[in-house]
Amino acid sequence: MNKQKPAQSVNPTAYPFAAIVDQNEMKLALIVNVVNPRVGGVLIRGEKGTAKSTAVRALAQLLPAQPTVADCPYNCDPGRPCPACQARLEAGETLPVEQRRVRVVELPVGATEDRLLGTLDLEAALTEGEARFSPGILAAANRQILYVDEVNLLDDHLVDVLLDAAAMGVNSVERESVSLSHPASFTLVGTMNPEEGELRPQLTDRFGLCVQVRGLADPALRQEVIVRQLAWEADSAAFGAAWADEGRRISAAVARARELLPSVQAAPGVLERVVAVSLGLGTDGHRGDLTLLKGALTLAAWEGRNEATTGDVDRAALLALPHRLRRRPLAEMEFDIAEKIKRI
Amino acid sequence: MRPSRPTPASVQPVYPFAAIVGQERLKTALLLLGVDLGLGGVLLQGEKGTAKSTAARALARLLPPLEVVAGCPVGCDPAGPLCASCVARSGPLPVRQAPTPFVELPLGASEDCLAGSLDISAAVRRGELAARLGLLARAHRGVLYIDEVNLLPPHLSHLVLDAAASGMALLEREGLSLSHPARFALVASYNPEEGPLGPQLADRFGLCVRVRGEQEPGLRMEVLRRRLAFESDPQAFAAEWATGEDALRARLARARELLPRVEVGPQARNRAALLAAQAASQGQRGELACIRAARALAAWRDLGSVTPDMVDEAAPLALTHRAREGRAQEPPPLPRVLRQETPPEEIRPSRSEKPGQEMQKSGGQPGQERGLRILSPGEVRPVATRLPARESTSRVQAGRRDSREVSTARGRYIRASSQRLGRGLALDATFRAAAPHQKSRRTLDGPALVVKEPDIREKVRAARRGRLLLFCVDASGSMNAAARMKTTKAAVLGVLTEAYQKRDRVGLVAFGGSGARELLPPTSSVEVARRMLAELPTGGKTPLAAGLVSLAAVLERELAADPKLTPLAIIMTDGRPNVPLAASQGLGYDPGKAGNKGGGWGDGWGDGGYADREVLNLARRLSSSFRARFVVVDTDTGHHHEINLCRALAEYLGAYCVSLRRLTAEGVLDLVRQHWE
Repeated sequence: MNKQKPAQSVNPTAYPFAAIVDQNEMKLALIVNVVNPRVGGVLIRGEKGTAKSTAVRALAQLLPAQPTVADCPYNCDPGRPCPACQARLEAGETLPVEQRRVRVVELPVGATEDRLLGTLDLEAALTEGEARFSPGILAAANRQILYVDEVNLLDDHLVDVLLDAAAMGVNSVERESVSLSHPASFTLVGTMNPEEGELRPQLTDRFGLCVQVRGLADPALRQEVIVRQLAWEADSAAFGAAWADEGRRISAAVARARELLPSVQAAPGVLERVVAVSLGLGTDGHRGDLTLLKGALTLAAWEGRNEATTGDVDRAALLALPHRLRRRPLAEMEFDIAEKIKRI
Repeated sequence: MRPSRPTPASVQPVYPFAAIVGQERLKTALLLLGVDLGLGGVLLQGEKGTAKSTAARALARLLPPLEVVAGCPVGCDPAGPLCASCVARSGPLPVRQAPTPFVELPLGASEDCLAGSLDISAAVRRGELAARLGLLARAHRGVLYIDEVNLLPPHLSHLVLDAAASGMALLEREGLSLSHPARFALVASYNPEEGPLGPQLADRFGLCVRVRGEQEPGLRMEVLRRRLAFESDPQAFAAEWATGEDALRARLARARELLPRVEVGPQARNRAALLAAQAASQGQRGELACIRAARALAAWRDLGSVTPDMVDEAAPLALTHRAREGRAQEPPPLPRVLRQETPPEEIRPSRSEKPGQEMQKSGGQPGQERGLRILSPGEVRPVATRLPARESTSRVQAGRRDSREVSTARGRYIRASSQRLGRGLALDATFRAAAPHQKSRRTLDGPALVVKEPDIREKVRAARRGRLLLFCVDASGSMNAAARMKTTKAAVLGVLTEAYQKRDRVGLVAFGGSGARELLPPTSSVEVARRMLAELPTGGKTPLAAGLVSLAAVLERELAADPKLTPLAIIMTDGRPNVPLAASQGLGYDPGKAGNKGGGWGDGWGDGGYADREVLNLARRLSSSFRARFVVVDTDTGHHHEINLCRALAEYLGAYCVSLRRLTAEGVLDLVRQHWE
């Protein structure tokens, strides 16, 4: 029952990403992260039953392939091998490389520390008397998307571990006669219902983007949600097939945008605009500025343009800044900042 | 290795579904669930002894036998989805027939009981890392029943609901990483008097039924007659009802077959959307549940399509529990401590109770049997955990506060520690600690694993225990009520903003007019607080006694859910009560008759009137019944503090009395910081 790779492979009939009705801001935020993992993830906040988790789990269908060392437990990049693979190279070995799809690795809120960090491989220790490392979720999540549903309910202790790894891009394990470090750089995606409690500010800050999802107001759209949901439940395979073309179209667009991204330039005035918007809205620290710029460049790539404009900055601000605004002590998180941005 | 799957029939006789008297809505909801397990579960709300668990148990017997993969630890459907071990098997899967499982989740269950854990015997005998699957696996394709679901610790309810929603159990614990299908019909029940079910939790259930005892004398007698007949000879009773059972079974099977072909037209969908919008249910789960229930209803009636009428019929089941938290809730029932007619002296002062004593108390008490009875004989239980007993029967005894055992097995297991504090064995960590020494310890024909004292590791559990702050505020028209309420609201939001990462909760009870209301049930969410305190009613007289009763109700409920809490209650009033409890409760008001209970006043405080004495009597009871701290804030802006009741109230509560000259949110926040643990 054990020792399989963390089993996410059992759900072949997930709801198609392309079939999610409306919720365009959430979909855009997710796509931006797939196009450019350096944007730093997204926190999706919203009331119950608004397709948050569905969207994230469906994202797996859109993810591109990337060159990966086939037998590396950390899915490392052949271009930037992990210490273990580096050692193999130096020993004269050739690393087997394959194109592997980025995965959505899920961290359940009930996980224990040993599974997150990785720990001593008990079986190897008992049967072979060898102190071998059994990699955890952080290892599996290297270069992938790490998804935490109900992230606000995650234990503080696990949050600390997560923050540590997110900040360094490295997981250092010192426990039970195991001592090693491995790369753990992941795109963090979290969903939460704020009614069940808030998130720690340090953790909030770790998410590149933040969107608020609301239930749909338009009756026609709401109807469409129901129709599609019932159709999917009745025959998920047929439903998936019906949406396959649309899904492929999005995947292709994502692939094109990824290719274009390195050559996207910032138009004159974009840096100035980034700083003006940041200062004008009153954000803390510089992380926001950087995310804002990356967001603008990524939006341009997503739309097939070589140049990011100040308009892209303003649109990226809607995704990158809501959770970074300095708040008056008793104020709510503001998501309707479009008007304010216009006035800057 | 897994425990054998107990067949309910062999453990105890099951009362036939067909023989349940009345309770039509309850039966309908369960049958609909039987038709469509995808309905998302049924929540039963109601008093004890209303056939809730009988019906759930009986439902499992109506469900058709299953084809399962023989030898599969989860009981996979050969048609899929398959668990990892079935996927790994080669060749055609062997199939066998099995009854639909009925699994009951005890409140005291530990997380590993529910989700699964390391298989000890495999590790010790063969040095193998294998999983022992939990209740979620056993319940796959059957019914999972949870009684008193409102008292289930949150980390367990999340596990159950996540599995129920996704149809999968995902386990990343104790060195194990596995997932298996877990599709079950969830049936849960609770008694609202024992505390509410969080709205987040309630929303995850497809249907909800409020169950009441039958009121018609004829029906009640029939209930008795059948119950007696069943108890005197279960076999004969079952035989008598076999035809009825078979008919239900056949109808269920037919309905299940028809279900995928039932059409849901636009009219029915529109109707569901409209009804859900009227009920102000959040998201679209309500709408979907409504449609699914109506579809199951159509199938049950052997009809090929859903009419708007059927949506109307299904709506109460699908929507009542999803309405946004309303403002005006029913007045809370009189708290137990105040209901008992024992003189205050006899109420055991619960402040002196130490946690250790609480734990001892429940050992070997009558309530224990309840938590254990679901375990079939011979079933393996994890060594590290013990099912905490609950004192459900002794609760009603006079003067005894509910004191469920606070087991060290509670809370989520997050990591292991070598410190020995008796917290329960962390098997995985212990084995890992022992592993490096095995070469030197192993003997030729001894076990594969030799564990010694220094290897022992204990489980460190997350104490997701925040603090609790309750405001009890005078909203009467006496003086500056609006300003006082606004200030309190600002203080509530301020505390929550400051405290959000400590998981603290704040609640608010307000009294004014002729009664008291719980404006804000304890919450840790700034957003919920803001929404529920959007309007602040003020005005009217000063029913301070009713305010204290409401406060007691909240305290009782919260302490029942977490006996280790030490809440802080801040009572803000100008100390001029003028509405006696009897009037607040709509009862006859007879000062001459009731004025001599408790005694101890007449020492010159207040006007010595009936309302004053009542308040002080209540204060004394409050202080002796609850492990809580009180602070009285005198909001009297005049210069006659000596004639108001605040000081006396504080004395009877064993509390500080603070007079805030100018009431500001910052002032209240300071007060909180000063007095909160």
